[in-house]
Amino acid sequence: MNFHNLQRRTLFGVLVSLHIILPITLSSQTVETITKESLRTMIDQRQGNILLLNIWATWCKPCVEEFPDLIRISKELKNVEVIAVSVDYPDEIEEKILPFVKKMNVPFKVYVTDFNSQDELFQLLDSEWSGEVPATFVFNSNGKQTAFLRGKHSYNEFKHAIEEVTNKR
Amino acid sequence: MNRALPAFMIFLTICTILIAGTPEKVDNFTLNDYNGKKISLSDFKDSKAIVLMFVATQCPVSNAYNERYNKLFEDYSAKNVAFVGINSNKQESVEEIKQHAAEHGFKFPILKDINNIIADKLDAQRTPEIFVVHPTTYEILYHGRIDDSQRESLIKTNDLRAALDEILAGKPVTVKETKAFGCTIKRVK
Repeated sequence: MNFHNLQRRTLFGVLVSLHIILPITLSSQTVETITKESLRTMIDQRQGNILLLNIWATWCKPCVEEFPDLIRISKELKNVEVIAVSVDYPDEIEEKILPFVKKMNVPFKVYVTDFNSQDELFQLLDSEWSGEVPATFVFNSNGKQTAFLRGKHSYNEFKHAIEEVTNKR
Repeated sequence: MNRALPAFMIFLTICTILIAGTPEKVDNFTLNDYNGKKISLSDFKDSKAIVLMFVATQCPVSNAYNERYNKLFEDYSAKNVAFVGINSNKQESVEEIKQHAAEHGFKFPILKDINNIIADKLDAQRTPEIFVVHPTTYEILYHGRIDDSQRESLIKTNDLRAALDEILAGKPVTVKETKAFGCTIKRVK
């Protein structure tokens, strides 16, 4: 076997492996609907972690723009659980939400609201929030809200809001 | 009695803080529309109510309401309700607003709120966001959404229409405050 053949076989092997591994990795990403009760439970039952709850939509450009920073928070801060809840419609999961989640390789849980009305989400979250997205809420390990970040924010701003919780411990 | 008064004042202060956010009224203001014409709230003193609509050219939610803006204008301007669009988004130019209004056949004026001064005064946060204002006292009679769904087929409550119907009937507005998902108004820093 000459050197070129060995190179070609190695390259072929790598490509075949990628074809097998990549779809498995990507298919692990799902988007599910979430009810008001389930979201309430997620906020309340923190199991020692801080929650960064991001409310977003695929039609919202600043929401999409801040996603890389949310991903970085999720990867770098181990004591923080990031959850993104989309206010798109549940019938848009396959067409809009899931393709975005796969493209971004989002490492945290992404849901879409399946509430009886949008008012239920407003009742569940900070009364100061009037529905503009993106909106991000930080909850401490007891499920108590400690920050409401209105509009688009950066990695450092998210991190600062989280550190305020950590420092108060 | 002397002890009760400070306690009551503290209670009042706490209540005021808790309900702070949307102001109860707005001062008369003047802004230019996309043709450069100055328009003031006082121009509509003879109307039954003034509907201030924070709108956008690039926001998909606001754009989902374009036909509904027109239908509302058509239905209620005939009943002497004034409609005024306000664009406070820093990135949307006067020329863009003018072109967008022409494309969608808006017959109501749209004012450019440079430096989001009026959005700040009203604490408006999103598009679309509605304030119905009394034509002479400028008291805010209704604040919130047009209806409860971007998709017309899923609408359960026509909140703005309900408020306007009550105002036109001389009744107090039953639901004065509502919320809805929308695009954040992009402010100057």
